[in-house]
Amino acid sequence: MEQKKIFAAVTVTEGAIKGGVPIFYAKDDEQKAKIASTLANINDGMVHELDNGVMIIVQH
Amino acid sequence: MQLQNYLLVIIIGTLAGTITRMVLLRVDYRQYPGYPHGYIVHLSLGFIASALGAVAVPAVMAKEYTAFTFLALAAQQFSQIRNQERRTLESLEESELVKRGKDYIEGIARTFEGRNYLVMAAAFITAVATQVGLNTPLEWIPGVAVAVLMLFIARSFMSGQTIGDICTVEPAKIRFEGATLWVDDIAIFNVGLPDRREKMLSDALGVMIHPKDDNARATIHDMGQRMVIAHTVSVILGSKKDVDKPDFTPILRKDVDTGKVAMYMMPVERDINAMVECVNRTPVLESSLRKPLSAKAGRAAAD
Repeated sequence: MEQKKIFAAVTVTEGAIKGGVPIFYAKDDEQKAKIASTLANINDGMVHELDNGVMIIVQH
Repeated sequence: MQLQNYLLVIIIGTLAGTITRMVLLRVDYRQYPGYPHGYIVHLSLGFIASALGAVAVPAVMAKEYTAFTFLALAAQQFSQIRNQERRTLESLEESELVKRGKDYIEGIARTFEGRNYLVMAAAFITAVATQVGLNTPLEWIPGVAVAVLMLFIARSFMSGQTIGDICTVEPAKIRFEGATLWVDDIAIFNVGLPDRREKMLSDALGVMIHPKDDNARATIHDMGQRMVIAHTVSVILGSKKDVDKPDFTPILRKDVDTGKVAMYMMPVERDINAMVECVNRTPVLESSLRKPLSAKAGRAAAD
């Protein structure tokens, strides 16, 4: 199996994520989805959404 | 007279072998070997294999027993073919969006090697029959009859099992629970973007593969076999996957309790009946075929 790697996280809640990966803050959910989509496109990654609304971009 | 007889034996044997190879060489959805040059390579090798098989008979008749050892040489050549096929397919695999998987490649390579032996055997047996026939009033007729028989045997030998033989395939419903994509009651994966989720709801197709018995369950448990299903369906129906859209990769996940497998995909041609048919017709790989029910412990565990 190939290695999976989280390489960015997008959130609207400041402080929801700390350290480890590049964090992008969005002003609302719409912007969050847009940023995540762009990041995924750039890195050929996939966007996943966690329960707390944080989106992570993962390369599978 | 003797020399002419031998010539006839060789010609009938070689022809039988070559025709068998032609019949076994179908171009189908596997698209392999889909090109004239692939054809030429395999037809020529089939011709050589059948000539070797056919020549062995007059060689033995003429008490040239060492000639028989050439068959060993041929065997070595054929295992080379297997390596060569494997290498070709492996290098093609790199640019494949929905991969065949190593198991499928190994299966195809082994088939190519195996068919050459099959052809050699067909040529040899036909040559023996022709040789025997020439000493009777029937002359060349037994040879031709055996050639036709070998052709049918080879054909039935070629057709292996398909998923439809060991499983029942049914259309399944695609739905979302939060960000998680479900096919009926099996969770597939998490999709973050709302517009992707909408697109999947409108374009995706899902099927459920129910194994008919414990043997089938063990077979579709194999990841290689599941990759073959994904590859086959993607070739036939097309897949919306692209390098920057990994979400559209066809995925097969099993239910850990029952062993049934759910498949999700984004086809270009959205036709659920065609998709069920594709899954049904997918070949079962020799390497993933498992038979736990053949073992005593397996039977005991099953009930």
